[in-house]
Amino acid sequence: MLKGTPIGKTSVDCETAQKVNKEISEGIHPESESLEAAVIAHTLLCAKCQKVLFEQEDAKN
Amino acid sequence: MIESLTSIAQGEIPISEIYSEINTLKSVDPSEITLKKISEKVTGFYEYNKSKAYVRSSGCGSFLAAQIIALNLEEENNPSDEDIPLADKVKKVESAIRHAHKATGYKWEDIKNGFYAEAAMALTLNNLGFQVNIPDPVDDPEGKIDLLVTDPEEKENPFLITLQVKNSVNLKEGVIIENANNLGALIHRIEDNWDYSGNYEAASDRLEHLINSLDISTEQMLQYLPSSDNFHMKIIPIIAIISGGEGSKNSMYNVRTGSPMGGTFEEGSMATKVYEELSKIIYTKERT
Ligand SMILES: [Zn+2]
Repeated sequence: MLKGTPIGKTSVDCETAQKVNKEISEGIHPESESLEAAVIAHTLLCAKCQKVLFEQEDAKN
Repeated sequence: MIESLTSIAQGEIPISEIYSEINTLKSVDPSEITLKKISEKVTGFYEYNKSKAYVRSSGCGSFLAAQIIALNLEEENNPSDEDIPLADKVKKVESAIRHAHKATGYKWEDIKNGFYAEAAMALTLNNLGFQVNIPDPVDDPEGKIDLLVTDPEEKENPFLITLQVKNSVNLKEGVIIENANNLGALIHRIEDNWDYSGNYEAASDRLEHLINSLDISTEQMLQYLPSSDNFHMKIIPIIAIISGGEGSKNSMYNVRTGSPMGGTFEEGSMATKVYEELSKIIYTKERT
């Protein structure tokens, strides 16, 4: 509790971001808006998660 | 550029060739236009899938703060790495995210300065030798803790600061820091240091807005902090008000780069002022 992530790293990891992004794509938003905002920031920052997100969305279309 | 995005999406070009990979966060380094398109595409996904506008706005802001911090840290570690000035690098990121943020409907100028101030504070504390962490969304459900700060050298009476940072262009004093439990004292100091010169009405409105927002956000932060009794170290909730932002006569940070003003041990610098204010609270025996 209250440990946080050192500056220079993102506050959610790739696994969490990808899981949340998949759920959002299915219409399920996290209960915590703070988590959702952190996932948005992570996805804006992380090339790996962007690639997964774009592939996921392309597969849907 | 749109083709290259499509190629990235189709996996034809490794994205790392265009967009630097960030496990440990580094500044992003694609061209401005690519960055704009990627940011727009990412935020477009959340808009399309009905993420709330203020959640998207907050995500954009956190991205900006993280990038300002990363760019400044890179600059500190490797100042002569490139010929491109730090201000240009920050501007590139800021302009891309500003563009993507438009769709939220929120006024970028109103929130942008706060994220520069947060980044400047994180950099200042880092330079002063504190361990600065970004809170986990689980610990900070309302997003009211901007930074978690500890002193790795303090073994005898370890503490954890939960810090909320605000900025104002009307603050005459460079930095005002108070324990969040002493909100009355903080508000008094802000009122005593408020600059009404120029547009009196606008200054009064800004003061009222700041006090209202402090009332709400301080209470929210205090509500969800665990008691120090149930925690392995003393928790000190702190509010910091930093003078700064576009149009500020006495900005404690560079409004184009987010860099704190002055050297870490230079008289009158942001770091010196932060340390003076902070040490009064954290290194006294009576910590409330
Ligand atoms: Zn990631």
